[in-house]
Amino acid sequence: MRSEVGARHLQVVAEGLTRTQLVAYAGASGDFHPFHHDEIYATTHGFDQIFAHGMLTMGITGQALVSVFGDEGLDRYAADFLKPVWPGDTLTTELQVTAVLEDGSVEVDISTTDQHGTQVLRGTAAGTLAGD
Amino acid sequence: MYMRSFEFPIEAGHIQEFKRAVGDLDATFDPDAATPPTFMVSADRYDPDYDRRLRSDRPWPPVAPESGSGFHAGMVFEYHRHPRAGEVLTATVADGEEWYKQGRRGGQLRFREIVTTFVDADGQPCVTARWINVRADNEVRE
Repeated sequence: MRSEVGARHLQVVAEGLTRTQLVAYAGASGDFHPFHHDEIYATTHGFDQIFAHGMLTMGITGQALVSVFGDEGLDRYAADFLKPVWPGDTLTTELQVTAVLEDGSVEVDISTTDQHGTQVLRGTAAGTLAGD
Repeated sequence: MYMRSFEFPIEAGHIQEFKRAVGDLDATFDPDAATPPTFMVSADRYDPDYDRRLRSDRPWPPVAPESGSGFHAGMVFEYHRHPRAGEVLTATVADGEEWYKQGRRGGQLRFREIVTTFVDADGQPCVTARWINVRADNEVRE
């Protein structure tokens, strides 16, 4: 992605999210809340099925940030979780540069949408693009 | 103000596991790996007070939704630098800011931050993480 206002990066970050990935994330993060792996618990409490941790959606979206900022370029990453993400969902993240600062670092808007075009995560990030 | 601290060892195998879990399915073991952007949230695995896990001293599940504990609405990470495998950080968890907003369906929403600061072995800041929780607040505020 170029260091200029309006530059964009589009990346499919999850294709057909699996229940197995939700379980893998529970183990890796330590967050075993039953909403994210126990179908009976989730349906008993008013949901159609289990759904992804908000932090899994943020982590998945983070792949797009690593693509453009590298492993150590990020200064800040913020996200709001707007809608649940369900097993089977395909997620696409779009990054757009909103500002280029004097030191060459950039600010970007983040939007992750599901296969229906519904925005599930909205956020911002700042840092130095990889290669700059 | 509520506060607690604990050590968070950054392990290469944990980084590999975390990367795979967030979609880098072929992540390999790297003894010098940098931490992914949201990795610090997995410090919860080392937090003795964390309640989203099976514990011998508490019932499971930890909190029923009916209790009005709210839900995780957002997250902010500020990186002073990106820690690597092999480091041992100290995490300090504390209450952050609290604010209110009008809900779309009427009523008031209460937002509350839980702030975790991570410092390295020299006491230098690495990452600050802000967990933002929201719940409907039916109480009348003065």
